[in-house]
Amino acid sequence: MPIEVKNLHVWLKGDHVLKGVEMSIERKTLLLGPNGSGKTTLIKAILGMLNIDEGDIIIDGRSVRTIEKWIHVMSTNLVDAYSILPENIRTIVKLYEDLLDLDTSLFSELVEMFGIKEVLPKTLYEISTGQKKLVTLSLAISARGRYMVLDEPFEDVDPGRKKRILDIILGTESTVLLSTHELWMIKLFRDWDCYFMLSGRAYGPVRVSDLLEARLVRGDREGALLTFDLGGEKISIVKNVNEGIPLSELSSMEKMFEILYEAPVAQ
Amino acid sequence: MAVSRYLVYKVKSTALNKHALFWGILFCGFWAVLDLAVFGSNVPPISEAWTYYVGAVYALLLTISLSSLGMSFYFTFLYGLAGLRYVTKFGKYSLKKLLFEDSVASLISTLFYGTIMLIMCIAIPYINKSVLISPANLGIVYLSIILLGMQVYLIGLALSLVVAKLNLARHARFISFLILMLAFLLFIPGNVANLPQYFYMLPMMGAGAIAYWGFTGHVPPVGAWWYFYRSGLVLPKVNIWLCVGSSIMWIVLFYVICLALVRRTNPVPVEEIVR
Repeated sequence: MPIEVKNLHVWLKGDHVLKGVEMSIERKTLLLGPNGSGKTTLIKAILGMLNIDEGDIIIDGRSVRTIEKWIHVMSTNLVDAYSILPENIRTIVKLYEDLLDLDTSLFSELVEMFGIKEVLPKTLYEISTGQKKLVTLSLAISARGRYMVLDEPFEDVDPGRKKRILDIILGTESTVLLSTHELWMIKLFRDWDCYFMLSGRAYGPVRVSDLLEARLVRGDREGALLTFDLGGEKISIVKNVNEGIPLSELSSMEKMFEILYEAPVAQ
Repeated sequence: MAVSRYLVYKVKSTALNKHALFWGILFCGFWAVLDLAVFGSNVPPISEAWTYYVGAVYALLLTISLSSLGMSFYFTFLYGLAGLRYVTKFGKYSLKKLLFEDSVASLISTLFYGTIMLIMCIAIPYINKSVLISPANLGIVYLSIILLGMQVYLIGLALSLVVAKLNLARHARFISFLILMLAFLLFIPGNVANLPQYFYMLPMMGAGAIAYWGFTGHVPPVGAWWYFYRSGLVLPKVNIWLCVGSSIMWIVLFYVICLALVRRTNPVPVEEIVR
């Protein structure tokens, strides 16, 4: 059974951050969107860290509002999830071994593989952003959740380690929800689903392989894979047309994001 | 019911927190030395006079020491709220269990700090003046530590939840000092004569008076605790049952506030607190 997000509304500090998000995550899924579009807020809501003002999130048939003590279902690389006490990473691992039934030997293997053993005596806030990403990803994998929610796992990580992270994510049996800005990687996720987050709304799903064969055209097109409502202007992603911008190339994919992110979005 | 590692690490994290150690042990230890070895030189070398004097010093330093722990409770809870929500949904333990362990761990830390203060206040006059004072009623002393500890714990928690609820993370450090500032109010009965009884209904103040009572074996006067033994003032005694009642009332009130807010409050992102 999937993760279903139903008409999700979340207000934070007086801002309407998520505005009726609808999603169904049945398989590995990419979440693409600009900064401030609500990706991390959505992830926090799925993890039960935020109050839901309206709507619901159903995980394998159970509302996230009422879930309690449901082990090995959801793991994440979100640093707030591992900040229960301001302790060093070694202590956090021991603590989460008890709290989440974390596989500590798997964690040690991953830390060894990433070459970051030296960070273990430090807290998560004494290490670099890239190291923090590697540690929290190792924690997420070691928690062995049926679902793995990853927020920008490639951010600030050097290219060599990015490749290792990619191999782990592509190889995992967990159903992954992954938010990223790394457009060059999209081609490597061809059989994944993809959602776009724009100004608190989710658009999707569309299969990445279809996205790579499609073109971006102005207007609301019949049979479009996706249609974005950008403040009065509609932009569609359509397959089997000759007009518009092809999305097969990285440059045109970036062009699409430029158009989508910079357009005035419907409120 | 098995105890989780959270309890153990929470004790370590709060009791050995460097701010708590500084304010709760070093700062209070420094004042214990000043009060008992320097300012106490005028106290007549009579055991009874010393008992009153040390009782007053102990009550004040205990309150300040535990309030510094309250700051530690406040920060660790503010920091850990998001993680606590995640691990209780997708981990082995319920929120109720971890919150219970959180309060037990905090109580252990307060007992630890309270005992250190007690040892200091007994050891310093003994080393300096060879005056050996023992608390008149150790049970009441520890009752005051528990009442005070529960108040500072719940005030810390309630404040952290209010900070998160009202988006006051930018002022989080300043707000933490409110607990310490509240504790310093106990200087007033130390110095001022004839306070109204309702002063002791303020949070922590009643427990301070109970600590004095437990240590000296005498219910304190409404003011001038420091000078009572030689001032010749005839002051009414504090209504000790009012102190016990108000302490329990504050514990219940702050507990209700925490309970009302804990599930309704969105945690502050840890990056904002660390910044």
